[in-house]
Amino acid sequence: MLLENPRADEGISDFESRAMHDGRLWLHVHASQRYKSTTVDLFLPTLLQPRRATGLALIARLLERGTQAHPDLRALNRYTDWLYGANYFAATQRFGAYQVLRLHLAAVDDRFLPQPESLGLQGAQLLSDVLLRPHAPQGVFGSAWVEQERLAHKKSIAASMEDRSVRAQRRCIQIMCPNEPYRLSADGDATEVDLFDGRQLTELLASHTRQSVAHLYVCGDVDMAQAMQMSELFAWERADNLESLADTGSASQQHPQQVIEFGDASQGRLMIGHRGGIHLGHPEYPAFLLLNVILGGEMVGRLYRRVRELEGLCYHIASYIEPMAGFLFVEAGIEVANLDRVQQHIADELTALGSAGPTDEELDNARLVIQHRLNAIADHRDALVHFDLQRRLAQAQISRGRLASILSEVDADQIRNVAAQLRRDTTYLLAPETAAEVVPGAP
Amino acid sequence: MSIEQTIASSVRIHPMLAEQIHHHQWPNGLQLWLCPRPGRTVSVHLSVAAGSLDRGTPEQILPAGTAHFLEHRLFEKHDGDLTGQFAALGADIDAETGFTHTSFTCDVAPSRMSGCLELLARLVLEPYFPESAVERERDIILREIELYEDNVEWVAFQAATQALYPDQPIADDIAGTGQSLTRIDASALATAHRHLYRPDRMQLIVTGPVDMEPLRDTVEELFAGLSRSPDQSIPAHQIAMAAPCRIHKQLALARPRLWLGIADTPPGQQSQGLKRELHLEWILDMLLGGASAFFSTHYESSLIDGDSFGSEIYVDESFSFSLVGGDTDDPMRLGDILLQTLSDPLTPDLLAEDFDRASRRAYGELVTSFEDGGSVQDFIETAVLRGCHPFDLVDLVLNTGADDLISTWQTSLRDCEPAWTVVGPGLDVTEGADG
Repeated sequence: MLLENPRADEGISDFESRAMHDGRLWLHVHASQRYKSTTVDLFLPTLLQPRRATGLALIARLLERGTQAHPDLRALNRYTDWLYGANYFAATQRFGAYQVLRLHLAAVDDRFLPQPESLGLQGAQLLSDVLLRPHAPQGVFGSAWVEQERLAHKKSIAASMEDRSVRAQRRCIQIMCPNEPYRLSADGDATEVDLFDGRQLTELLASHTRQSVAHLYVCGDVDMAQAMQMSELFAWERADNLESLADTGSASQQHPQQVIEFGDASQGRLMIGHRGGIHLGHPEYPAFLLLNVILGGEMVGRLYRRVRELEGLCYHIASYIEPMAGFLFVEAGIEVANLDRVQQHIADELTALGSAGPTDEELDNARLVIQHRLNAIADHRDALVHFDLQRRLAQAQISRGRLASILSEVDADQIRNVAAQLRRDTTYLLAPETAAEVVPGAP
Repeated sequence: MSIEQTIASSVRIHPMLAEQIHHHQWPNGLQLWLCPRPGRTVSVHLSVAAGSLDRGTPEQILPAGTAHFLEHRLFEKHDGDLTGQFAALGADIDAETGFTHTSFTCDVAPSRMSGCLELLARLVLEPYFPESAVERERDIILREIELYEDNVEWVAFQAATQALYPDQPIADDIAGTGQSLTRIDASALATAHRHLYRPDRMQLIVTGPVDMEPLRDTVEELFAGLSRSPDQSIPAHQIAMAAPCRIHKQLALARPRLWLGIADTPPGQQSQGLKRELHLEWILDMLLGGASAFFSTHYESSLIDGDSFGSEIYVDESFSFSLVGGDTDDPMRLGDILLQTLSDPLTPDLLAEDFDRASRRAYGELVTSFEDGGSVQDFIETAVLRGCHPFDLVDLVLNTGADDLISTWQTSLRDCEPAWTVVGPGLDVTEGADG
């Protein structure tokens, strides 16, 4: 058998971590020969803030345009192709209340090349160049690039909202969290894009790199010494006072609210946001994870069985957790005329779980599903990195093995308690314009 | 059937990739492929040659959408929904229907693989279609179709197949239509199942920490007792004859999407199809990909964007087409420039001069195709569904030369007559190719 590390040892992290540069850069190494390539990921986190979030999203686009050594898009892309099709991207991503500027590079290991070329190290050098030596004539990002990326970014945000399910998710959390960072997107806001010029973006990049505590993840056929050599490429002058990443926490909506908006949609997109205050570091979080699978796990959850399979009211219904905020969302594609029935089924199932709890079979199945998924994370580097970074940002570090062990001890009472704590906060429906006559109060 | 009656069994090792692939074929035609690899998950993928194009059976012509309907209905059995039983193994199960195949994929812990295979066998081999459940499923599928009616990716793909192949089966929605769904009943499902879900139409692809011998024994116990298809075989798919036209499909979008559809003569032999697909991927990347002059010029002029612009290639025995395009403010201008680029007489020089860069990129992509279980499974499926050993596909990539690309460009792209599809604001309009 080819099992690697046959069991996820409790308490053993997937990464060997080391503080570098006086604790301003954390190096996390996952050494394994099971992959064909080495990945290098640099994360620069900050709290999501209006305007700044938009600026960082624009910067990510500019960092894909070129470096001083590869000064235009074509030269940069030709270079990564020459590194045997190395995969490079820059992006901003949201982790709860945080926005992270991420630089990613994956390059084939020497073992699989006709001759050794140390592509991992060359890739790390490219990421260093991208961040510290971007193509910025006269010391600032060029106005032509900035203009192109402002336009492209506005169009990209508009295109992402054309996915009606994404639009419903975005609108629901915006309405639910008017004063919390969770309302903000890692892409920023289209109305803020034109507020930035090349100088402002250059200064924002400089201040962001100076103030962030960076995390560098290296995964693949590397040892700590090689990874430390890579980390030296990310030495830069840091500010004396690094940014505090304390999350401001979530505020509670006093009364449930319902918002219906009309748009060009073929089917209603329903989102219901619930708050329970059970976030990643909360002792009841493992029970919250199980509750989510029991309630709305796709194809196994109560909502799927009742609303889709028994009642035939929709094709898609599922729940998911926003783990760093402690929110639970239920989403469904519905006929607007069925809005009340679907809402009632969702409320009934949550109430039932909050009073009677799950059956033994439901609990056992949910436990197996999550434990399998926790184990399967080890087969996907990106998932490993996400699991680790998410918990570092939330200051709720726990190994997968320890979490699996706690999950095995969660009982039905704990799940019932968690279900009883959830409060419906915001119901949002994106309704087709043609359904206006069946919605009370519609224009 | 016993193991002694095996038709074929082999293990091949690829030194460059440091990978091995086991293959076993039983007398009833069922094939098993295993790529052993370290990890905590076994991924089991069952591909059945039962797609939306498989409409003709010796008994009846099946309504559009039957294969997809069947995929939905297979989960329910007389003792309940199998989904719960997969969950009881901690397994994630997924299913998908395409033009030529329906596939079922299950990820599970190694210790529970046998249980998962048992359920998978029940899933595809035990027909159970009570009329009441079929009625309910029809409503669910209608809602599924409706859900995708505002999905730009799906709407654009559907419109592009209609612009390429008007009124032909390949242009029908894989899920069918409101009208065709009313004609799918328990009898049609049973007919489809009887003729399409046969062992000689099935390929089982497994990746993960698994040994071949016990896996083969388990599969043999579950599947090898089945008999081959009856003599009355399923007719081959109707050859898709391109009749390119222009379609404008209305959808509320900030920016229209253009797909230029380029049809080619179907390759007939599957291995030829694989070669053509590989060459077209390579050529389109060299002419239009991120490192091309086309991409940088038109990205900088904002005619295209980096998110949506790209190409897709679909080649099988009975059809062969490519789609190129993306979101743009000026679909007509983008289409004209794409056509100029694809038919540029200097293309052979470009393909020859830029070959080393493209070759290094293709080599890297080939190696990383064996990075994780999911990508390995995709790679194996791409090869075996076209009758090719996966390592033959590896060798095909490694042995491709600039001359091969130039030859494929000359036959498939240089003189193409494309179908135009624009999705965006405006009215639904269909015009002839020269309209």
